[in-house]
Amino acid sequence: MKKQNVKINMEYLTRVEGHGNIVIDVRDGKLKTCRLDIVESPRFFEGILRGRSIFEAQHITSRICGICACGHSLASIQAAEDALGTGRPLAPGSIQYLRARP
Amino acid sequence: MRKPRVGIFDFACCEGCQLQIANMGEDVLGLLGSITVMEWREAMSEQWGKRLDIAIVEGSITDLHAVKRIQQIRKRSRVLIAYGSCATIGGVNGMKNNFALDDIRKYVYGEQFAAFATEATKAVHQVVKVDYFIHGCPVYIPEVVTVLKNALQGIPYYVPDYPVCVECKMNENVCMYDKNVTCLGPVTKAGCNSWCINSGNICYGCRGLVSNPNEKGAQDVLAKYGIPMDLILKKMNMYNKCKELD
Repeated sequence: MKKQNVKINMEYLTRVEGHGNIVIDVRDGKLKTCRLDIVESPRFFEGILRGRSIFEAQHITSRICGICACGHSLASIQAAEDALGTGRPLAPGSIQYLRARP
Repeated sequence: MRKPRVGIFDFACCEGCQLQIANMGEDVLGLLGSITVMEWREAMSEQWGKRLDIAIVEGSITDLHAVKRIQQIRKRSRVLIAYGSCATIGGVNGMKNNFALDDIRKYVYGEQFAAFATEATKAVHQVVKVDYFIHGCPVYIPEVVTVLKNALQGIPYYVPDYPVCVECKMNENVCMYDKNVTCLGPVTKAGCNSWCINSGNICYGCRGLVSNPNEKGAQDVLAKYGIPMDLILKKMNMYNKCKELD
């Protein structure tokens, strides 16, 4: 196999939420550098949720990502249910009900 | 005549407001017929880097790198639109300002916190001049269309300065307080057609406070329904924390 040189320095990944750069450097067929830089400033969601009501938490966590807001909402609601120790209410038609069915 | 060149940029945010443009439906065809999108990181790979007629900026400014970037964008664009709550009032990112910066960095990232540079959250207009504001988390698409039409014609757009309750009453909703739920409608800027309350949710105040909120009236309402003051104050600083830096 031919030994290749590949150099990729991609500033700003497109079509995703968040700012990331990819740096790949291959010299003579050997990988020298392979790095994913996250250049966006952190937003500290774990910190800002402290002291918030569980009813506000879902609203806040869904703002982590505008593309996959549903996943963050559901995770927050499930965490709140776990904290309360109520378990999953299996109301017919609810997402939990559909997921619990074999 | 060439079509106006538009760039869409994002800073610290969830990028859901940009997604609202993609979700516009039929309106997006009319929009794309009247502008040329030169840069839009979330939806296209092309880069432009030269002069723009309109820059649509989403997200709040939370570090020095972002300050430099927004100044560059301001320099090369004729009109700058702050787009979505994070850009116009700081949004949920502003909640970070409730805590001492080093404390919250340490809480989230432990002893290695120094690797994560950050500054107090600022809205875009607190760093550079902004020509148009589109509030909302996420933005309300009919309003976006109106603002873009105004921006393309060069006429100003005034955000309504009356509370959400005005629109909510016209939509004939039952008041949330009558359902024993706290709602920020009485002090929040209108323009969203009381979108959330129409769908059964409360108003979280994402569009920012009206310029002259009726504090006494709000206190009377809270007293009438027996709601503690600190509950509503906490709700208010969910979106409005950055206002203190104005």
